[in-house]
Amino acid sequence: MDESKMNKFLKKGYIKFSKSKDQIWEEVFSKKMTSNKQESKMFSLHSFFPQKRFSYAVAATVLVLLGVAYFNYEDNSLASEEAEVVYKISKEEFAEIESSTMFESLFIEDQEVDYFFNMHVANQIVDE
Amino acid sequence: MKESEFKNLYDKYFDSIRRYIYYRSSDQALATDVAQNCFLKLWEKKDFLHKKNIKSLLYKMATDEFINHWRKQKREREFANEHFEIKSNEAENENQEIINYRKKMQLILSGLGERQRSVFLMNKMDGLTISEIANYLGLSIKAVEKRMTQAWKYIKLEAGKK
Repeated sequence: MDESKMNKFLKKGYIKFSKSKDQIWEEVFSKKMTSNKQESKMFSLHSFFPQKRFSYAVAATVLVLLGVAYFNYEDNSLASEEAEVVYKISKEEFAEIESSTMFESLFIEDQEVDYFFNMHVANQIVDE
Repeated sequence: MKESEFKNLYDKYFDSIRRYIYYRSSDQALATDVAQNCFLKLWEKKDFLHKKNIKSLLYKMATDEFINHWRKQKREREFANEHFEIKSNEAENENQEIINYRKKMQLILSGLGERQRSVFLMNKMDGLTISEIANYLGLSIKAVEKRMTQAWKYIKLEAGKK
């Protein structure tokens, strides 16, 4: 068999298929691509909901934190008011103490004790 | 991989893959099914593919698909009995001599072993080099050369007989 003749024949030859690749693309792959696009759209719609749930979760967390912070603030302000009352009382008491006869007596010199006793303590006892 | 990139690959390689399976099986429907399945699988795996060696990957997929099909259908079908068909570009101007030559060639190629035939026709009809065939089919160059030699021997022997 002539080799060059055969090579020429095979080089020019081709295989004829019943369907061309373009027909197969139209029948099989273009449908596949279209359904794939629809699937990806569906997927994006589904993926919207988890994101929404996530944002709800974040909002709820923020609300809880704000609530906790508010109650903490209220507790602290009550405590500080209480502390102020205690301070005021002690201040008044201190003023009373300061003005009391007993307190004054602490600063009296020894030679003035009799005079102080006659002037303040004896008078106070008489008053009561 | 984008749809446009996939379409490019399809346009570039679909016919080569389909012809390769036809060279092996002499079955047009099977060749089309195998090529189609390969590209469907390629589309499914498009996100994990590297752009390098896609052609080799397609040949590998096609070979595996063909072997699987062949194993399943082994009892029902004998590929050797399929008639291998080649069309000529000069079909309209074919004279009796060319028609006879084509028939003779088709008969010889039908009798050739599928491995030898696929390698031989990939070289002669698709114009692939020995190293390209070796690369795409995952064979050594020596293995491809051996198949080519066997094909030549068979063709010369059969042509001498008829």
